Amino acid sequence: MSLILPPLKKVYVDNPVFTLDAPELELSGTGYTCVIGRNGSGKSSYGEALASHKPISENNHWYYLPQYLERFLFAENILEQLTDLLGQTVNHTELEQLLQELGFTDPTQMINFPFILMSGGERRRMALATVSYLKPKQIILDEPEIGITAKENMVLLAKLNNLQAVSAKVILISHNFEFVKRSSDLICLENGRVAKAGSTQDLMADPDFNPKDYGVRFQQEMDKAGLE
Amino acid sequence: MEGRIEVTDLTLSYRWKQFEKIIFKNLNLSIDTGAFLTVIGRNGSGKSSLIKLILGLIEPEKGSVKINGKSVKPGYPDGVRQGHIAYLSQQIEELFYADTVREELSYGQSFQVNEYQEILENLELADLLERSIETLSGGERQALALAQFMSQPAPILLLDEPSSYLDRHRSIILRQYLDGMHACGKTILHITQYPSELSWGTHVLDLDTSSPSVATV
Repeated sequence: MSLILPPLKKVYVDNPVFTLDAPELELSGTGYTCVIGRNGSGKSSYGEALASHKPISENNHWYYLPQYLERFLFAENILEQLTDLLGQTVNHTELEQLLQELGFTDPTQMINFPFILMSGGERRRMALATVSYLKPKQIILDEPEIGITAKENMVLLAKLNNLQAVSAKVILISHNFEFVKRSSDLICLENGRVAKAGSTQDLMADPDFNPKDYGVRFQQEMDKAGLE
Repeated sequence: MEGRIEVTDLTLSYRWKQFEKIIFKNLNLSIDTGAFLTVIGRNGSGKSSLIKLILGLIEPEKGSVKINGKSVKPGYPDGVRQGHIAYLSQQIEELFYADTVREELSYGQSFQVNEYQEILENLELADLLERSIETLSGGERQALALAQFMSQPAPILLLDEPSSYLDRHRSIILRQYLDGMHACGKTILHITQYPSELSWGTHVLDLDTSSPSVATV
């Protein structure tokens, strides 16, 4: 089933030089979709606009997890956070398993452990655990890999694939080539406009396409030899 | 230009209600002037706490931090105030005070926009001077914080995940800047989550090991 994204147009009163103007897009949707672009190209704006777009039905609503994930944590710990969000009892076993997958070594303790004592990266993973537990049908993750280690990034990638496996639609905003190359589709933004969109495989095979032009960072590129 | 950091027998834990989180137990480190130290470790291993201890932003339960042989006193970061240390925080969301980029760059310090034109152009901030901070993307915010950081002539540079939000171009600018500062003999302490950035430095500190110590790359 293909992924159809609505046209998105938005002007910003406090930033008149920037306008988001994206056409309707039809993508394969066979895996997750990556949104790429230089800093300030409108990636987060695209995600926010998509999430605030009026859906045809409640099932079509896009859930947006912001770049500053810490904003998303409002309770004292993850158990309280999920209980408040769901209004019902949380399955401890499922939550503990999720925390373990996300790299917490003592999940039994962590379900009650206060966010206030956690590092930035731990809080970010708690926000990701919250969203994973909620199992949204359509989700936009805005650079979720920031502040977490390479190993945990791989877990995140697996979680994205798991979400996809349960028919969730996932859009990932990222600068990381490891995520970009594993996506099924790409949306490439330039100054609020869609410069290119389509299958990742096709774009990668296109000699005129270079992910570096859209700010994508490569794992080994920042070694001395890779400097330009 | 001296920038020696010594950490002796340092113990730190955070407490809240009945919960306690131990960060360091009897940590000893010696970072020589001119070292480019990359600090790695899992989330919660104490990377940011180490920088905050060096700044004096938090107080250890036990032990001491010395900069050039002088003990760091907890409280307002004297090292930053006196120009010995430049600090780039991980938190870019609530880092700025002013309304616009230009105001922020001039806020409370000697940053003269004309004087630092090259930094602003390299970081692609020159065209954003009149922009409201609120409208900046994550990467643009981090570039703004980086510009402020780069304008400081301190001999000790502390950077907490400085490239997280940066795109490829700006990451390369950061890398080139750090190479240049290292060549000038500055002491650099760089926290990162990116394995590819390990090769930037001369030394590495892995806080995941049972007795963390400074090793050469």
